[in-house]
Amino acid sequence: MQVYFSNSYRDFAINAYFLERFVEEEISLYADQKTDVWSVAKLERYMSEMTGFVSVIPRRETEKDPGAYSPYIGYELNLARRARVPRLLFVDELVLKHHQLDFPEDAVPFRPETHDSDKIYHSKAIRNFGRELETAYRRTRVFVSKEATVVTGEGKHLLAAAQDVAEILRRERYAVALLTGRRPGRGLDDIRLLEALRRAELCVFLLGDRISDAHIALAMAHADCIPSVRLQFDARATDSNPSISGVIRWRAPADMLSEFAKQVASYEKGLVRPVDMARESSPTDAARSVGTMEWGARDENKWSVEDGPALIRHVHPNFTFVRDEVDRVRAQLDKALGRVDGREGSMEICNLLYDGVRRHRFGYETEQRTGTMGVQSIRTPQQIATHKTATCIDAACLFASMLEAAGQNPLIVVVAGPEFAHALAGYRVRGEPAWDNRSIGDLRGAVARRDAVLFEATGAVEADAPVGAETAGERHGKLLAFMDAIEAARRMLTGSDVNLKHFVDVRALRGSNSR
Amino acid sequence: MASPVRLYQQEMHDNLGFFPTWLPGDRIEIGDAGVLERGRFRRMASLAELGIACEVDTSAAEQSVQYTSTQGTRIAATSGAAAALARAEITVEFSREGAFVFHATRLHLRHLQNRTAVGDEIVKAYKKAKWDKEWLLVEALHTAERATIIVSEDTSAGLVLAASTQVPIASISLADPKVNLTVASTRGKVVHIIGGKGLHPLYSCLRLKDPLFGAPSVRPVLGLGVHGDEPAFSRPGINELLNS
Repeated sequence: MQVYFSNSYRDFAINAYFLERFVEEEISLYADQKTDVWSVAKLERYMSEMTGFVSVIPRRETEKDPGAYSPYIGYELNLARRARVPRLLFVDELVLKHHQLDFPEDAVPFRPETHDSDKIYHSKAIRNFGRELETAYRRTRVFVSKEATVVTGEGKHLLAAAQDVAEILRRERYAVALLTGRRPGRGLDDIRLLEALRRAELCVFLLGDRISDAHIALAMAHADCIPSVRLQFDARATDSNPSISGVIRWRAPADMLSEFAKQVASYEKGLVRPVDMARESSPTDAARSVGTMEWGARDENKWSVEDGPALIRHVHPNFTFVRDEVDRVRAQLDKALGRVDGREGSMEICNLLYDGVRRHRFGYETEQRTGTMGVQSIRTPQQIATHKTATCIDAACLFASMLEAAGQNPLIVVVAGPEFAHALAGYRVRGEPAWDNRSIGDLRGAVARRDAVLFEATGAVEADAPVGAETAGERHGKLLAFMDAIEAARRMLTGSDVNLKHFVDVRALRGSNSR
Repeated sequence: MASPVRLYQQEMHDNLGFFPTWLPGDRIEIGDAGVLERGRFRRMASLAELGIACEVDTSAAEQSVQYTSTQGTRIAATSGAAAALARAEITVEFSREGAFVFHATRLHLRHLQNRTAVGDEIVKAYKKAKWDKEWLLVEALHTAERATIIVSEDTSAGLVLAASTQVPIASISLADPKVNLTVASTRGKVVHIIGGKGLHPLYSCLRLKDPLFGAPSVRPVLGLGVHGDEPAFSRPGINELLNS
């Protein structure tokens, strides 16, 4: 019995609750480890190989929609319905209420605030699903392993790109069948094409601007849930990131090939087994482990955790995402931010930047292991936006980047205590001198005098449990209000068991480096 | 010569980020100008005396704090009969120089509001030889409605406090106005203020930056990333107080 587990990675507590139910009912699950690659081909592969599909769909409320949910989970569910795989859906009651028709009638509601009281009900649903899987027969997809079909639309640039795509596949030991050019008059009746698609383990479609036979072939593969990579040439494409439906719009062949190579690598990667992990550790640890992103950190992402001043290399005031956010605040205030002085002015800017990050609804997660002791990866602002995820140090560096771009004096503070280390963001009020001594006492004094303001940077990203010194009640909709984020940082800083590990005054450090 | 109460000053600075006033009953005011000597702020002048206008802001937020040195302090309470008005004794024993007890209720922060304008005026005063370049300016302080501060100046010292209270003695602040504390006995050299009212037990100060007082020079072009509006002040660290 192989059951795919579709879940919202950031909702650790909810996932842990359901994993515990599956442990009790002895139904093993397979899940896709969170990575920075969204691969629809991989999902299609597993939809056709699995005997069952379980999805837990929590709410991800937005300002406009209190019952919103992750579009990625929504897409996984649609894939499962298209693949006609037996399913069990647990859907947040509020999501179901607001989007009733998005879900089949057999969806099981849950209430995240009181789900413990529904344990019996949920366990029963899982037990019944287990019985259904034991008695149901599902024909698995028949294909030739390591055979790939590349279908190309019209145009020389597509043909050249197809050759490169085929080469990448060959290097991954695929036998490649290249289908190019027009096949006039055949259309949906092209049975040889359909069989070539069905026979292949993986299909790749290179699509041009105009509807072509390649589009028709993709429609056939899509309806049949055949694992497919969709490469759409688009002269206006700004990046080669896949859309939710898996379409990779590309303009530069090099960018497309880089993303394609990632897609193939992701497709090849196996699944993890969260129920088994939960048995070996705990449901919460298993949920956290599956939900912690494995991403390809580059050298410029690496930071030696003992080197405080090196954090400045992770402050990027000129990145597009940062500039966009600062421009938005500038437009809101309608004045030059670099001329804003004083406690109230700096506070207003920081508050607006904070609220700006909140609206993106990024998710919080703990650091991935880098494989090197004492080295941690820090996402750039662009990677935070792409991954929609941030750790505490990612968020602190992001705010430092934005505050610097806004002409303020950003601070990054790393505190440590028994069994924890945590990063805070903040600023030194313009006009307040930089401190020659940077002890925790100096920092506490500056915060008390309001010469410096620190805040819980992760308060601007979603977390389903307290990350720093905030209380569970202070996180509303998984986020902290700015003033609560300040209070949480104050609490953290004044804790009796807290030591100052790093204190980075970005402006002062850049000044001393440039002398 | 270093202050004999380094531990008190270092730990209170670590806890709250302010210099502890020494002696604890000294009256330091915002706008005072002076120097640090053996851990003590010695007042030399004030902004008012120099004719410099000084605007002070008082924070509405208040806090009560209780700190005891991490080393060298032991407090024991012995309750009397379970009567409506209990009498108790609190014994405080110190085993090192600078060990302390600091309890304060209703601490309010006050700080200098017009710092930039004051900075400009101080530079003018310096040019008229009315300001000494070594002087520090008190720019923020905490006022305490009530405070009990006991600091040992010996490696072995102590005192016994007699208390009359209607609440359990083990859970109360020694600066609680509901507790009537008196010193029953002392041993060794101890500086103490018991239930003192309206104290200014913590302060912070600034000094004008050295370049302003140095020989005339062309300031270097610092390049991108450095403000043209760098503050005129620098902030002395705790080591300056400890080593004064």
